[in-house]
Amino acid sequence: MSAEHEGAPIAARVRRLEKALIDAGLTTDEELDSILESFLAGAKPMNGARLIARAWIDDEFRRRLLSDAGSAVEEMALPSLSALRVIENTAVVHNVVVCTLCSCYPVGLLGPSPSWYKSDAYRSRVVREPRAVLAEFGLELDPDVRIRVWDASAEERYLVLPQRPAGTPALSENELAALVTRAGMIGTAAV
Amino acid sequence: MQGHVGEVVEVCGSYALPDEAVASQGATRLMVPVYGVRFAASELWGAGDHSVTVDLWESYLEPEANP
Repeated sequence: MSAEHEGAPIAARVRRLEKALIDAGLTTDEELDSILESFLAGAKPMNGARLIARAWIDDEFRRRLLSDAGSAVEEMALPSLSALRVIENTAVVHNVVVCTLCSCYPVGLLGPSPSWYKSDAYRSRVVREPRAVLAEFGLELDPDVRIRVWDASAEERYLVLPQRPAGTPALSENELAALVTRAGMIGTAAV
Repeated sequence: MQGHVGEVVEVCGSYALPDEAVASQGATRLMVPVYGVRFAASELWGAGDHSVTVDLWESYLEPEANP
């Protein structure tokens, strides 16, 4: 799916599996490519950013996003996911997401994951020393802020709801969405 | 995580165990509840003031020996 896996053993296995399916007449190269292209074309961080911006301006939507993210995603007609859980940053709690097993992540809302998200270093270190890892990303948290690490190791995919930046009461929903980054929704940036 | 004490902080719904999901594609699969279990870093690593929440199938868990 991603060029970053090109040389990995998993890529060779996927290619063999594709070839077996194509040889059996069950699918074609063109069909597989078009499925991947249409999924990835719709998978981008702006999808997640739209959820975050709506939550910042609409308290009822924010509560629903936190309690039943699936219905909130559906309401905004964004790419649906198996099971999404949105976790909220506050003045005293900062959340950060990892998949220690592999690279689980809400692709439809964030686009393809950054290569560091899949790295052994991030996956092993963020669960042990998140404050140091976040500082390396340029996010220096106040010592009083508690850090919660969420390991997406089963079926749920996690998305962080960052705090709305100070000084933005006059911004429109679209202007707010433009402030939200992929890293902010993983938890390695403030917004 | 094995052998460490954590707290169930959420119920995530029921899902097939990964091994079973792979082994019985298309067949009837046993759905097992999944819980978000929060561990203190100090419990897992002996240091750190953060927490780590992991989604675990019910069959991975056992009651704490002496709560």
